Amino acid sequence: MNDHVSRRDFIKKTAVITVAALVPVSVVSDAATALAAPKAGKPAKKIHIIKTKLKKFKGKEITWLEKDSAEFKKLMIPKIHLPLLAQNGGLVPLAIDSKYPMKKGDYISAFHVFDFNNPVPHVASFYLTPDNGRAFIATRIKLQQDSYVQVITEYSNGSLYGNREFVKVTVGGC
Amino acid sequence: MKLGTILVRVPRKVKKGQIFKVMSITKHPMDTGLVKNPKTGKIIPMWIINKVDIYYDKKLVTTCDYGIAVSANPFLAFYLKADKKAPLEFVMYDTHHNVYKKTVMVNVV
Repeated sequence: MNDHVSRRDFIKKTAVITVAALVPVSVVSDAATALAAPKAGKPAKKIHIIKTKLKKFKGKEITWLEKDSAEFKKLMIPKIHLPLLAQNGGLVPLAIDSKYPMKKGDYISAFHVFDFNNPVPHVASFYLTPDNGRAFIATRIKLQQDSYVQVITEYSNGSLYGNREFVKVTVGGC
Repeated sequence: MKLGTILVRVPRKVKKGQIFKVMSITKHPMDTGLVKNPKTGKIIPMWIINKVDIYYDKKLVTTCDYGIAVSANPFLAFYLKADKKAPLEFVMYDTHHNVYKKTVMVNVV
């Protein structure tokens, strides 16, 4: 057995291996950068989302409870039904639903919908009475960008509670 | 459909004491006053419905205050408790001082 490797052989083999190792990598990396270039050329516009919660309304303090807390469930603070992703910002279905018993003297008297990422934050207000039987409202609203839709619930004793929901918007509609 | 037409859907028959759903849609442009006309380049002036009153048996049941962020052809759904056979009236006011009205009967059996 001849274990001796000649100098010429060694150089040839190493050259082949290095070329084989280098070329595809560089080619692939070049191709990758070429593919990524058009995407990188248009930098993704980072939108600023205002996350502040509404503190006061009509001179009254608004209470923001934790979503898992017992008081949250006891007061039956309404659920906000929104799509995860709204493709058309000009037409986003919004439903506010609570199972709070609408008895005379103890009922949900109003919903106030706010969105701080819109040109005008106040979206709409809905005033209910015990004749409704159920605290439910469904509408369609306009949204400018990804944002938090805030619903302030007013009870008949005057207390205000807030709840909010995140929604992604592809094309703004304001 | 003519501008200002209100379409209301209520169940044909409801039992006494039943809580039923009312759905409505109104034909209205709801211009926000922020959009330009692409042809002329002029701003389309604001024209929205800003108040909706709903009367059941001549008693105010629900009021809605709309801002500019309510979509065009506003849709509204809510619940009502059936007491007796009575008219359900929708009255809408807009910023051009127009009033749109629609009355439907609720058949309680």
